[in-house]
Amino acid sequence: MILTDYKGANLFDELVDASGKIRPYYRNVAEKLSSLGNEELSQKLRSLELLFLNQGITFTVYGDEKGTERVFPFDPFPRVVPAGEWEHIEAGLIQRITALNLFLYDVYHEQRIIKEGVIPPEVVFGAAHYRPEFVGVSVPKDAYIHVCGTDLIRDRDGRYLVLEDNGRCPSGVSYVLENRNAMKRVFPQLFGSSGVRPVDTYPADLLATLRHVAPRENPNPNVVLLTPGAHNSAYFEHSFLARQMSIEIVEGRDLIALDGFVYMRTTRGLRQVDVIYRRIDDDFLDPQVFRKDSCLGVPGLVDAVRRGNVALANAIGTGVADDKVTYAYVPDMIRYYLCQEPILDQVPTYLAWRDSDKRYILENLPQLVVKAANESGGYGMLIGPTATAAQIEEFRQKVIHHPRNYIAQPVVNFSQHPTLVDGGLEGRHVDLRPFVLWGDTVKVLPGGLTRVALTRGSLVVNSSQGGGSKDTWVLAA
Amino acid sequence: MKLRILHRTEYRYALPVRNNANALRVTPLTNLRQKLGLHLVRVLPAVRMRRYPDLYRNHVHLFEIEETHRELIIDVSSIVETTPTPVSAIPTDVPLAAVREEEVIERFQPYLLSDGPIRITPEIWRAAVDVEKDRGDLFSVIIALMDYIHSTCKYVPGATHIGTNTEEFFAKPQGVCQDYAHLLMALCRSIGIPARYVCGYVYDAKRGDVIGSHASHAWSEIWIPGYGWLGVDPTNKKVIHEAYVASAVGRDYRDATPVSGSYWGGGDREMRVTVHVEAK
Amino acid sequence: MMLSRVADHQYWMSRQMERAENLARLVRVSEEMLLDDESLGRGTAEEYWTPVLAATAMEGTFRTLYTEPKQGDVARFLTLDLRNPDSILSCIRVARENARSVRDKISDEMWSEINALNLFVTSPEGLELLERSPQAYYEKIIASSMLFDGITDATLTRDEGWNFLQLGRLLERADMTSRFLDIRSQTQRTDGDSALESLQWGAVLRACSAHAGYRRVHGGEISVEGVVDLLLFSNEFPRSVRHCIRRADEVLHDISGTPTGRYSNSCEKITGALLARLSFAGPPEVMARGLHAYIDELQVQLNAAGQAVFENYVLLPGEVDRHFPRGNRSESLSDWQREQQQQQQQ
Repeated sequence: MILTDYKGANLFDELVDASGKIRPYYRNVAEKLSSLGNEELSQKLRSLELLFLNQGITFTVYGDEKGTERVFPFDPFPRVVPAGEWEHIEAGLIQRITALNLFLYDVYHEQRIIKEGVIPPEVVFGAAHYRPEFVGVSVPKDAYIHVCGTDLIRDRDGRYLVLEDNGRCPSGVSYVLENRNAMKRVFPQLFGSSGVRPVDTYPADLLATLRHVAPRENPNPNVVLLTPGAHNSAYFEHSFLARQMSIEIVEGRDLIALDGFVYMRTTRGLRQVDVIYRRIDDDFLDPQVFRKDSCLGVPGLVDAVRRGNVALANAIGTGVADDKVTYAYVPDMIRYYLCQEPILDQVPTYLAWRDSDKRYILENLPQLVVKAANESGGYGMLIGPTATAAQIEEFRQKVIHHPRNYIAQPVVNFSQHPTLVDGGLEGRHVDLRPFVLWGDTVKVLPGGLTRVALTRGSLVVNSSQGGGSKDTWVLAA
Repeated sequence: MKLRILHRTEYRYALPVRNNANALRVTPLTNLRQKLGLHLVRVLPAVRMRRYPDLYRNHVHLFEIEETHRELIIDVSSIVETTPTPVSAIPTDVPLAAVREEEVIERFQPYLLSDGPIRITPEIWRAAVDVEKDRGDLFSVIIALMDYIHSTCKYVPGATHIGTNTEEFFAKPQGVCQDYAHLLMALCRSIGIPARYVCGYVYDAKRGDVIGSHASHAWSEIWIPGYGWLGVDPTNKKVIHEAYVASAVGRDYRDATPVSGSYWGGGDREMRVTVHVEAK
Repeated sequence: MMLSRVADHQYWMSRQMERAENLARLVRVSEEMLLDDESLGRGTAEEYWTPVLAATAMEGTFRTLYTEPKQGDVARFLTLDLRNPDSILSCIRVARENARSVRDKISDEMWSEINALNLFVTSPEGLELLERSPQAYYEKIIASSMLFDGITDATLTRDEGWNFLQLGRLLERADMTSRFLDIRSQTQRTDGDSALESLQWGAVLRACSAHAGYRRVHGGEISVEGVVDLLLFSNEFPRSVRHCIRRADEVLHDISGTPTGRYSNSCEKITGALLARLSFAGPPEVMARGLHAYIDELQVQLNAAGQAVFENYVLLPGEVDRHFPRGNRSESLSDWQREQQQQQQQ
């Protein structure tokens, strides 16, 4: 692979600095990559793709009639994060999840942050995923978000900014682990003495996090993973994690709630369940409480949660914390609950429900990114500079009629990373989703999912929208 | 040297308690010797945290858990960058008389008192005078006092309790770092040298030969006019160096206790402290 | 102990795989036979295929989709037609869906193989092969299923899941072997032509890979009695109904922990009775009763065994009636599977 032709751009480039020099922490991997012949490289790439396909490392695209499974495109040039940068990210993420959990506890108990005027009541009560029926319900260890996937981007100066928190059912961690496995198998020579921190303790850490919230005194609690089923887009991940943790992967119909306890159906009769790592949204959990038409859930599950006989991870109602309007208040939350300044910055956010912000948004739609407050996965989003007039008009109407549902942010031309395109290297935008586990201790998986927008100039990295991924190397020193 | 410190304090209550109010002095100080980097405090049950600096400029975290609970966990993680203390910079020519200046006595009055756990008895004064005599400068007196303690006392965990005073410890010299530090302070103060108490952490690079690396540690600081506070660890017989991180200072342990508080409720209480200090 | 649903998926994964393999065996041999027939100017495609469709219980579905059994139509209907829920492709798809649902319970190699087969059957290379050399195409499917079986044997822990997987394969194999016999029992048009008769029975043996096994026991001459003896009553031949049922009975006892020879639930009772019946009978009894009638009874028992597995291990007591309205039980078995698949798709 030839690196000499690669040039940075008028934005932060992960590999090269402003003068075009390769950053010191990339030298090792860049040298080794350049020593690979083009032929060898493309051959290795083909074997990688085959590996992924035969392993069924795929995701399903919604809205596609055929329900096609696709391989998540993988780019072999790893993203490298030096130890010092990671230390900063790690601390920032821990601070953030701590504040978010305190916020959730508060919102579902005394609501002091609202009473003291730090966050306007409509932010909380107007969030689609706020669950008033859970006010006063206690959850084990006061833990709401057990697993958080926070999306980070880097601005022109290389500053890491939080783009959003995913505190409901964040996905993608299986790709982090599988990407690393694939890299090790296909490019063993790249690792050498590079000092990359391993990621393979994640399943054990996740299991410890889940066992930590088991409600009853039991040295061996029964932890299960609840999936919507084999047709869910993230099913590969669900079964991967269940396998790695050696726990049962269950669907709603495998569980039954009786007298406030949850059991799973086995060939030997019913067995009590203590902790459910649920990978299905609140709405579908329990048709008796939430969506009546849900056939994915377990009737009576919520009652069992309320009675404290079973723990859910993440807890019900965490969506109020990763709402995009709430996002704008996270720095205030950190100050309020922790009496600290936020370690990680975030993207300035205009809230359509504030009249002054709304006016600004409507006047500047072509320059802004507009997002629906409660959507994830890149759905329901307008990228002003690349949108058509019709799309802009559509969002103008949405913002006017449902201001609580929309926020806007300036376009951050976030960092790019060299990516293999048609045999050559080109800069493509990347983000980073690290995973945080909130258990007996708080752990951040050293690495995370680096997603790449494979289309030139595109800022959308979601797998459902044509994004790919890379291995992420956090260096030990 | 860059150190990462994980400090966990766990309380388990036999019966539910409520209105558990606590003050934490667990935040490493920032001064010429050390600089605090990332610092996080996490408390379970969930509770809002407040902060203020106290009289001695220690960072205090305050919280009160009102609802009933059976368990309290306080997790503190800090990253601290320390700089070496070059021994050559410590003056070895400051006469003992320098601390007897009016100005010093006035300014350091609180650090000269016989009060609380620092009880200056005639026996302690006698011992200090015996060590001091024939030595010209302050530094060598301090070192000699430290050596004296190290050779006469025995490190025996459990032999003393949190309220043991220097009189008791001097009579039966078996105890832990807190007792060592208090005794050194009593000896210094008895002959007019200002001394204060430091609570903190120490990194054990060799794993095994530094006492106090698995819990929060304590040592003393002695005032040397023209130089400043000199940290001295009588438990390990060391002038403090870059493996030491101070988190709070005060007249004695009462001013610098990592966790102090009160709650409503009866029954037994069990406490466990774990400290990990690692070099980054 | 395992999740009931997982047991169900394991069972159906291997059962559908076995069904796909047997259909491939059937189509391969049939096309071969038909070639012979055609070159000899005997019979029509319709006369040939009707019994095949009847014996595999697909005639009804076929008639709703096609007017008459033309050669290409039937082969397509049996192989690639997704409107036929029992076509080879449908079976492979369902097998793979079941495998996907228990991805964490099977080995990576098993998953790779079933995935590769699923990709192959409709891949451009696969379709090209089907066009150019149908024999090779079907052989590849058969080989893949057998490889899957071998991989399973070599990589899967011998736990309860393995037992359910065996159960699915054994019950399906017993069922399909009996159906192969039934095809010939319905084609009584040899008019005493013994050469033609032995040719047709020879085809049945080939479909079951039983040629060598037959010769060892019965010599070169192919007779109805000999074929029936081998495919129904042999205790040694691995595709014989008796062998499959004996193994299934052992597996069931392994699952429940009940000593063999006794029973603790309805499935063990059914397989035990079936095994006794097959152990104390032979071709004379079959010929006396009539081959078709005998096989019909056998299949009722085999269905009952499959259903009993479902009732004992998948459903909770009290749910049986909800899932199986009285009267029409055996049919709804695979319907329940399909219903599950649909539920997931929502």
